[in-house]
Amino acid sequence: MDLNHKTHAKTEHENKLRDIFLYNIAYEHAENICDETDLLLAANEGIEIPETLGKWFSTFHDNYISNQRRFLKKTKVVVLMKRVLVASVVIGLITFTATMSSDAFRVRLLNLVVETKERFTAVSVDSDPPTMGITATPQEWQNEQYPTYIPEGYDFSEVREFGMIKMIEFMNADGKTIVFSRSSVDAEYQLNSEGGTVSDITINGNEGILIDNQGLVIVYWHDAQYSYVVHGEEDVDTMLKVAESVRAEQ
Amino acid sequence: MILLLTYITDPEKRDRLETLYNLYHRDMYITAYAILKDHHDAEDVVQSAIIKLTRNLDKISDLHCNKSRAYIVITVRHLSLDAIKHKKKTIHLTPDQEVDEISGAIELDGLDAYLLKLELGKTLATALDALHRPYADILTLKYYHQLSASEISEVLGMTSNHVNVTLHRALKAIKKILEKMETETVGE
Repeated sequence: MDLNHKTHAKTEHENKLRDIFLYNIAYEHAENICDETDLLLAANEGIEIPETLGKWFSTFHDNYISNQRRFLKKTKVVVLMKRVLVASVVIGLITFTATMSSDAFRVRLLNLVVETKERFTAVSVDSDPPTMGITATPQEWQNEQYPTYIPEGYDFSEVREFGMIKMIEFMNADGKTIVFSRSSVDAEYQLNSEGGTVSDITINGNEGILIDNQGLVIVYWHDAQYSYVVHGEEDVDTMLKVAESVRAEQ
Repeated sequence: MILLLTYITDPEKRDRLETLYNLYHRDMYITAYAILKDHHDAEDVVQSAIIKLTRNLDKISDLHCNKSRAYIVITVRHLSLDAIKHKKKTIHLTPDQEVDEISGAIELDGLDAYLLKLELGKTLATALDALHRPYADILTLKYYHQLSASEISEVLGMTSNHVNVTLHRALKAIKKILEKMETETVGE
């Protein structure tokens, strides 16, 4: 047998016996106290307890209850506040996790803080991508320049490619479309201006033209690398806003 | 005694305090009076005892037993003795004992032979109480009421260190009583 185990077991055994031994003495002393007190009470039967003691206790007792009640109220408030705090932290963590893990959720959540001061003239966006009505960049349009403003009601419809020209189309419930296309600066665009008004414009510092042709608005501009066209059936201001919102995809 | 009937927030606690007073106020008063021989001082001591006991009401499990009764009487006794000390401004000396260094853990060397003789319990309790009452009281609070040194110090109004020293001395006293009994038995 391991000597250490034996010593430990022996020590434990002795300690337990010692505790019982002393407990027994202590128990007998307590019993002796009670017997002595009984004798003391019998010997002092004639002594009256002062009324003042009872009155004092009554007041003490009432104060004790009041303090208990106050303490209980405080404890309840503290417990409630702790629960509210824990719940807030949990909700915050869940929201944060959901926001960070899901693009769709992040866009929807961030779109909640978009403010429009006037229709189509001022958009205050707190975070990218601030696109109204577009929930995610289509897979086919990754790493491309992209209109970051689309009027409410329009949703992504399709992406098309014609040689060097790449197009992304948005459509609303009425079937109206807004199309943004991008091509190499060398590409030749055929823009229908017959019956419409043509005016020179600047989009984000780049030269362009605006064609307003009986309900169809075409905005064309180019930079050193690409040519861009935005066309649709919304009013001129809206179409210009779409054109000016074109940014490189983050 | 005038009792106001108020809304009960914690009926169990309220009943315990009332029950404690109803059961033991006479025990407390007579115990204090027997030591102090003065009604006003005895009343003061009982009030102090009730305040002290109220703080530790949760530690008293069953009010209707000798264990709780002994606890209450010990509390009142020591408060009464403290009141005398404060009045006379004297310090009670412990009886003549060999004052040994406190080695650390409380040991009972040489008591192995007695550990199973539980029938000696009452004799030892009586002898210890006769030798020096605080020894018996502290032993009871420690091993019967299962209080820690700091809790005992709060009940008896002494420091934890003093409690440990007194407990150590109580155990040494028990050992000496047993050795004396053994000697007397052999002599017979």
